[in-house]
Amino acid sequence: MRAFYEAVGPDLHRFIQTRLNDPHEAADVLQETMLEVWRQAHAFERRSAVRTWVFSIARNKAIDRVRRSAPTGPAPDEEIADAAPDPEAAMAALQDGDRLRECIGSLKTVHRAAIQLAYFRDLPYGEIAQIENCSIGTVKTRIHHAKRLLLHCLSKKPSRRGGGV
Amino acid sequence: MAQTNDAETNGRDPLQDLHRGRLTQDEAERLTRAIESDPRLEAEYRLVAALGETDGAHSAFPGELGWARLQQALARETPQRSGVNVWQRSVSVWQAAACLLLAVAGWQLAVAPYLAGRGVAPGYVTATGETGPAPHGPALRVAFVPEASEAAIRTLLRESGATIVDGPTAVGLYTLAFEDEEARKAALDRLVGNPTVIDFVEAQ
Repeated sequence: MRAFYEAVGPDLHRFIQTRLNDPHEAADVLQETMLEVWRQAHAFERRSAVRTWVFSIARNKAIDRVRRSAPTGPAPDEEIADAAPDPEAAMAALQDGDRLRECIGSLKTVHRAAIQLAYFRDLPYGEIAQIENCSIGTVKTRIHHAKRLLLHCLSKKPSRRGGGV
Repeated sequence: MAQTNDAETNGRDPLQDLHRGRLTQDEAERLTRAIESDPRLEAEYRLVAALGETDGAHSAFPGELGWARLQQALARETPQRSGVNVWQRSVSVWQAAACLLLAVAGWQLAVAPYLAGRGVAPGYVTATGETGPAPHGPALRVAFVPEASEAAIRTLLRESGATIVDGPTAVGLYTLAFEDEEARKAALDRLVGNPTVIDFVEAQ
């Protein structure tokens, strides 16, 4: 179990943190996830990859945690900006890794999770759909919107940095 | 969920496939031409490339402390508590756990030497895997309340100037080290005064 924890834990923690935006909450959910894996290992039927199964458990635990801490309901969806992003400004901003992270952090949870699974973890659409419990079409739509929102964010001037000449 | 074919299930963003060199030469050339002629597509491609090279967020993986907490929680899950190795909970769970480990290529390579090196005998091992010598300098042994959160434990340890240097033992004790005796005395009051995080404190 320790080898399993050490092998899957860092990625799993990052994935959970993507959904919760709090490393300590993420650590608690990571523990709950690992315990659930331990409890349910005998029921795992190998109809999906182990990775998909474990990440699905983590997703559900994270959602439970958010629901418990925000009983008034989820935040309203972000609006997808209509105007086309400025490609040159976005490409220039991509040179700054912190800026990209800031923009990723500004995304809605489902968009952020889709970006993480698709690009950081390099998972195929089908596996992301299983983890997120949605259709492949929904995954593609989320990724499309997430990329568009990121380019918009990158096109804008940084919110808190200096600069102002 | 709607029926999907393998190509769709295994599909990824073509821009990512291009960036990672997974397209055929023809596909790559076609997409590259499209990128060169469309600034928006070029920006999207550069975004995808940048995403592939970042981790998105700095993760504070709990590491050793997380494993220690997990090990303690796993021990509580075990029906036969005293003197029984947590991994011998039942044959079916062990087999399932083994399947898990086998399914994750390479991980079992880390398990075998780990188990072999410790000669897995009935009983628990500490989170660090070693009993280790007693820490030099001022120290305390504590047990955390099982329900205490990671955040609460970390905060209390930080505020107390304590560092976990060993544990958990078979009965769930952790050894905390301090800079000096004065820090240990100050921490003792603070730890005792936090019954929601600390189950009990034992002065060494």
